Amino acid sequence: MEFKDNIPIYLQIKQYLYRQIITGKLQPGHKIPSVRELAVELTVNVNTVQRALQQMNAEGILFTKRGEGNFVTEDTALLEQTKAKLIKAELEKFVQSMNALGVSDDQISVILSNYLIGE
Amino acid sequence: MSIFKSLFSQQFKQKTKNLYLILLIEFIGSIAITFFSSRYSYNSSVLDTFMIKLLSIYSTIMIFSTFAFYIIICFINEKINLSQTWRLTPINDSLFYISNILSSFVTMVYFKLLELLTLAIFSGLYYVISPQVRTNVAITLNELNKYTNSHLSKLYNIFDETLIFITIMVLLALLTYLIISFLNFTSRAIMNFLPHVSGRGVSSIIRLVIIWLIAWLLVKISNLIRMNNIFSGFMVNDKSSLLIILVLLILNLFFLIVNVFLMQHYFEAIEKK
Amino acid sequence: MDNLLEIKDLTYKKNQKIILDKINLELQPGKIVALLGENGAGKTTLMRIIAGMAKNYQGSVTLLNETKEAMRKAHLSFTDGLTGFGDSTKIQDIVHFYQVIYTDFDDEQFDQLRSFMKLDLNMRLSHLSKGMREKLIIALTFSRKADLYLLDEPFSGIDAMARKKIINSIILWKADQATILISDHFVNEIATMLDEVVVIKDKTVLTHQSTEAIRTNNLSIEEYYEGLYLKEDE
Repeated sequence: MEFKDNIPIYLQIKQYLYRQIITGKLQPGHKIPSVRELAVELTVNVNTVQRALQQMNAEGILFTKRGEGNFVTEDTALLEQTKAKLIKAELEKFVQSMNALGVSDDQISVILSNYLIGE
Repeated sequence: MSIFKSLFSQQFKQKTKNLYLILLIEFIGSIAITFFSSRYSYNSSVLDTFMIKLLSIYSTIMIFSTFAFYIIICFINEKINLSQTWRLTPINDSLFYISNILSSFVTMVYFKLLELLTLAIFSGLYYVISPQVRTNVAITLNELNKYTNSHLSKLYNIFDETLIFITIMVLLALLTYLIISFLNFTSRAIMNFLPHVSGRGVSSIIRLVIIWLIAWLLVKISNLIRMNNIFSGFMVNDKSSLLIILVLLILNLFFLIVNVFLMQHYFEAIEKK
Repeated sequence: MDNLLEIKDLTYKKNQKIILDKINLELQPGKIVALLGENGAGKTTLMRIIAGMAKNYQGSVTLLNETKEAMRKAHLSFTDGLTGFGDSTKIQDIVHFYQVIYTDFDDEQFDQLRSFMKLDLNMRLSHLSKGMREKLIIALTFSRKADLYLLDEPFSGIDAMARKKIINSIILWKADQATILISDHFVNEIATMLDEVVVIKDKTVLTHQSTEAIRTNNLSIEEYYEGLYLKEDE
């Protein structure tokens, strides 16, 4: 997994795990890979993984079962909220990119609809 | 202490690596030399000439090999003292240095014992093959027996003197090695202190000069303490011999302590690239 | 948390030149720390001092509250060029040396690392390419269960693919409380793995930062490092 070196790694790990959860690769109520497994899989430091997981635990997306590891929450509302946040972040990025290309906010929805129809 | 044992065994293993090859060369070499240089006289048998020549050649080899091996061991010792691979061993420098010396000493003794064993085998072979030798040995043992019974005290004397002689030789060999170490350590320490000079061989020359200077200093100091007088009484009588042994012990201890101090504080380990 | 390594006012001179001047450094357990600096800045010297190979310095070096060299050496593992062995030495014999000399040497771990790096026990030192030799050194260094690992440019002869694999295995095998201090020019390859960065410049420690703090400012480690040198060019 290639992480950018100029954004805090733990944030990127969180993003990665959010996506895994939203896209269903990590199921609600199921256990996620251990800290060590994640570290190896993502080629990152164990400390960084721990920091990311700690925050996600605090946010409620993950919960710990003593001696068993970290599990994805079954709180559907929270999951929907997280999904909404991710989508919003993507939209923000998209809008910013379009603006940078000289497309104003009004033009965006038109261009987008045309594009989708044309598919 | 277990680290000391481990280090000792590894150093011993390193030093005896080529030992068996050397012994084999000596074995075959001595037989070959004897074979190719035998002149056959008409009086004694071929066998006698061969065996006597073999025993004397092998004994000569033994004497020369002692010096040669001693020099080789000195080089190996200093190489180990300098090597980062060895100095990373989790043991303090004094024990490291002592282990190095001890393993060299044991290697030397082991080497000589194996050579003596070979000599004994040759002699035993001669004894078994030649009836004349058997007769001569029997006569000699008989005479020795008679002599022993009547001159027991003299025998003890000879035994004592041999022991003293060996002790002095060992202490001298040890002292020589310690002084070699001393020259190595001090010259390197001084080289590390002086500004670096570039140019091939220049630093080696400077180092040699430093070694000569220190050696000269040592000689001057020993003259001052009147070492010569003490050694002039060598083997004259028991008292003077014991005095020599005492002096040698003190000198050995002195240089051992100094060398350990130098090693702990100034003699760095390097990774020869 | 007790410091794993404490270096106080370390000054080291050689050949009438000051190499390190009043170095102060503290390392915590369980961190992966990069030691950066130009060639000749003193990174290797610093590691040699910590490992007890360089002598005659001022200041103190304490590892796990021990200042005695023998105790420090027992708790650290330093990448050694294996120059103490003759060219004809078999890897097998080198391993035997490590097994005997170091009580914390883990045979199983070495076996895993060895097969991972495709090293044959019967090969002789002289037959190894530079890259293979470095792989062997890394395998030997990490087969010891030490508290501090000192890696001095461990990857210089190893190709990029192999480097990634080896770094992966290091993460896998490192004990949680063990600290790695690694000096290498290929910062980028290991950047995402680092907890902290120590920069040696002008004979002393210029900065000691956590990598996440650097990244919070939207700088990559390389950008940050180069930035330190640009400042002086201005």
